[in-house]
Amino acid sequence: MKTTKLVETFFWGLCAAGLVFGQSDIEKIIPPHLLTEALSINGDIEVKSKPKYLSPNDIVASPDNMKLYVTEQTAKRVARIDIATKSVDKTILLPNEPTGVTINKDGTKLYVTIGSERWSQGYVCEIDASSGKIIRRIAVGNMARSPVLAPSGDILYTCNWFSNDVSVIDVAAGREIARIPVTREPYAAAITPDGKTLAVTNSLPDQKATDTVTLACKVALVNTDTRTVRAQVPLPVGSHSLFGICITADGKFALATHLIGRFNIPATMLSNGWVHSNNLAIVDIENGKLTNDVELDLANQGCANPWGVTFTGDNKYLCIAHMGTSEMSIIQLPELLDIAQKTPDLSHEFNATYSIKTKVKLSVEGPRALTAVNNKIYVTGYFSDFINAVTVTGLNGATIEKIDLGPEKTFTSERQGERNFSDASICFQKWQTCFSCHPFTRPDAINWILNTTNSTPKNAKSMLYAWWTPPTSWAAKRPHAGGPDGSIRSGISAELFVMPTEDVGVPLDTFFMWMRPAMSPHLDKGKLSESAKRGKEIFSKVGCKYCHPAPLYTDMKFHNAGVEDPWDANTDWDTPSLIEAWRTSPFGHTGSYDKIEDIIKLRTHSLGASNLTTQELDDLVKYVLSL
Amino acid sequence: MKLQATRPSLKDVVMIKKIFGIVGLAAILCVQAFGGGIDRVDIFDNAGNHLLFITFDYDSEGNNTGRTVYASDSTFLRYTSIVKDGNGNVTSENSVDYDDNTLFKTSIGLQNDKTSLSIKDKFDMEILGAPISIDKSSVGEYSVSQSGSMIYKQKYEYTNDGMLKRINYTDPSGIPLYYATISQSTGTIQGGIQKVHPQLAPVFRAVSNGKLLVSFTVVTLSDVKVELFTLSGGLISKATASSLAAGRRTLEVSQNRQLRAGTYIARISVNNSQVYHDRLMLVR
Repeated sequence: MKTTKLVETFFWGLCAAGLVFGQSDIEKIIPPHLLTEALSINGDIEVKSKPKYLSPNDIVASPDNMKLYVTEQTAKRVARIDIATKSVDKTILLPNEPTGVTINKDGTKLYVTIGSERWSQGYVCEIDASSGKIIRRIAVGNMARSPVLAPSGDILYTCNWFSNDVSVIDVAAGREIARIPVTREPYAAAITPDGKTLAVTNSLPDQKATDTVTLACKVALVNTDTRTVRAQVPLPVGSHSLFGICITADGKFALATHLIGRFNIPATMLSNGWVHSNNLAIVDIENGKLTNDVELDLANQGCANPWGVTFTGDNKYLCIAHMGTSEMSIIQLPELLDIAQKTPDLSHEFNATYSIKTKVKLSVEGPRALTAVNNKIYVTGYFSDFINAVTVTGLNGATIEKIDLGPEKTFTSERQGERNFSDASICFQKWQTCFSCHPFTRPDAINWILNTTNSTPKNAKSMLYAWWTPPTSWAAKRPHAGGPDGSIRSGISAELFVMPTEDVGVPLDTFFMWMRPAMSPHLDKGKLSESAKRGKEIFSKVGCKYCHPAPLYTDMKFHNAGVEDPWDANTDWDTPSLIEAWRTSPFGHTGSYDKIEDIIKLRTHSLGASNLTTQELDDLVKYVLSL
Repeated sequence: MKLQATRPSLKDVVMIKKIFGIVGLAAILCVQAFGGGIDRVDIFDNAGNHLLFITFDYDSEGNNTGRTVYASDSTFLRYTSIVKDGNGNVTSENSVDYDDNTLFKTSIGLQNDKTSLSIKDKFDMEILGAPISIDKSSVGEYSVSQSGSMIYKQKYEYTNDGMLKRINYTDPSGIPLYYATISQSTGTIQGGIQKVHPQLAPVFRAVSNGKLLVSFTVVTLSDVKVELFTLSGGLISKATASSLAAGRRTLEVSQNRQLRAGTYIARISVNNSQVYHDRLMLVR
């Protein structure tokens, strides 16, 4: 027994020292670095390279005009601003990045859409506006955004950016009750005062880039009773990046901001909207047709990247945020509608609206969303940790105030690069930004004839991993992204028509290095579906892996992919990465395939894949679209 | 309805081991991984929003071999495998995506009470901008620093009986930012250990008779099923009990069979919904 006692004493001594088990063992399984790693990778805590910027991206006013609610994307929260004191009086934490916000009629509940590239499953957070408590979380489509409440308040709609559909939510039941398929990448929506029509913008063309006669985004008009699209209203050829929409108070017109890419002519100059013009579509809701399309630029001065759009409380002025130029257009609304109905095509016309509009320079950078409280317009700037309040009194000026959301943080090189990517001040006459042809750094789905020697139409490339997968252009005219001869600086000089300085170029280099893919909506809870797993086997079996090897799914070499080219005698082209193939249609260097299966099954592309059964091809497609 | 976590009585285990080790007698049944038993860590922000959860993998000897990170809706985010040196110290971790492609590698340097952390992605880019240093300031308390400045603090909160209850993550001044809760449900399965020291005799006799007793705690009236499997998945025996009242309960699952020495998997199902697993090692 003495020995037993000794052993016991020794054992408990070890325990006390934490050497046998206990705290030290638990802290081996849950090591001290675990939370830091998890929270930093998830974008929750800030570390040296990733300060927690606010990135205000949407705003709504309470019905009593007492409060503003601002969604702060990268801070994962909503800031409530007391309008009287012009200060934040509450912040509401969210489980993922907010993408949009709306409020019910009595101002008691907020509906905030959340989703991010890390975790793209979309949700609507129903929030008690007073306490800030999240009442419930309603699952909707991928990267849900732009929540819109029906006038009755009983139905909520969201644009599911990556799911290509609209969710219909029963507000009382707190659940999704229907999905309405719409055209590619729905981004913004607005509903008529009678609640009968939901107008939805599709932000990227869903066609072959070679469909040069019809290539354009559309505004979908959804019959909310039947929950079907009753009309697809195509905008002028080359229209894309429809990021903002509102409906006039009488419910007659939907007004949608967008760009027009004039892709049929070589990009040899910028003036007069030669490459891109920045426009507003006016859609006749009842008749489901385009009333007119209005250029917002001046002949010698662009106003790049129009985004959010609204009108003043008296309905006299239309206000448009210009993300690229950090300006706000103020346009006399009745006069605009009158001219638009009387004058033929205004999509490339500068004079007709010259006398009824003005622009004010904002102090926020990268404005995207705005909301009206009477004749005061509140504007968020994605790159500013404050908002602007613009009092609109007419075309002869406006007073601009600043309301702080939090302490401003110094830009890292990466953040400055992101800012430069969206900044038209680095472009001759501010016509466009890098973002114009590469919205969110991804392609605009258009063929461009770039301003380089002997250039022929080529499909715009995604900037994702451009830094890491040289060459960066189809024909390797730009062999790599960075440095003096890289595609970043040559893109600025050739497409923005200014010589880039290093304070522009170096941050862009950093930004490019850090681009990371979004979670594919084709994954099943973040994992390959059974079909995609079979597709992975086929990917290997039929030899896709040789030209598209993991982990970047490109060998970075030139191959003849069997894609015919009516404009270019070359046969071998850079092999693109397959990562995010789900969002980079159309495919091929000429963008002549809008569905990836059409290029996969080309006999000249892959002999093995061309012999697959329908099921095998479907599995292979599922795998590729999961990447 | 949940199975309440109850950490195995270490004293019991030790006493059994000790007694049998000394007198060379028949059998010992014990929970294998003392330091283990961590099933899941749930991470919340200070408003209580569930952000992430992490599950843990163990080898047959109860050593932690990896973990999986999920979004709060169970969307898979990454799997992390753990690399150890010859002394069992973790030296690095490799995190991969759904397609087994490396997302990032975490290099871990351990020196006394200081951990240095460097997370590099597949392009060798330092994801955190600069390495992180984590210093143990006192028992269960750590400071997280970067470039010489403390940026966060974290504290492991234990219950009086040594169970990890929660980890608090604060700013340097102590303002709460995030917290993590810990599920140690595997710790509720206690093979043959029912009584606390010094009442070991009944346990000893039960074990020597080849009986396998599994104890657990239910917090409300529950139907419980306990099944015993071989490592290859073969069902050996099971025991069920209906309408067990709340409290600590024990089921005999060996059905009077003489079980061979070895490792088994026990599975406890509560009301046919919640399922808990653990490995049990029977030593003769």
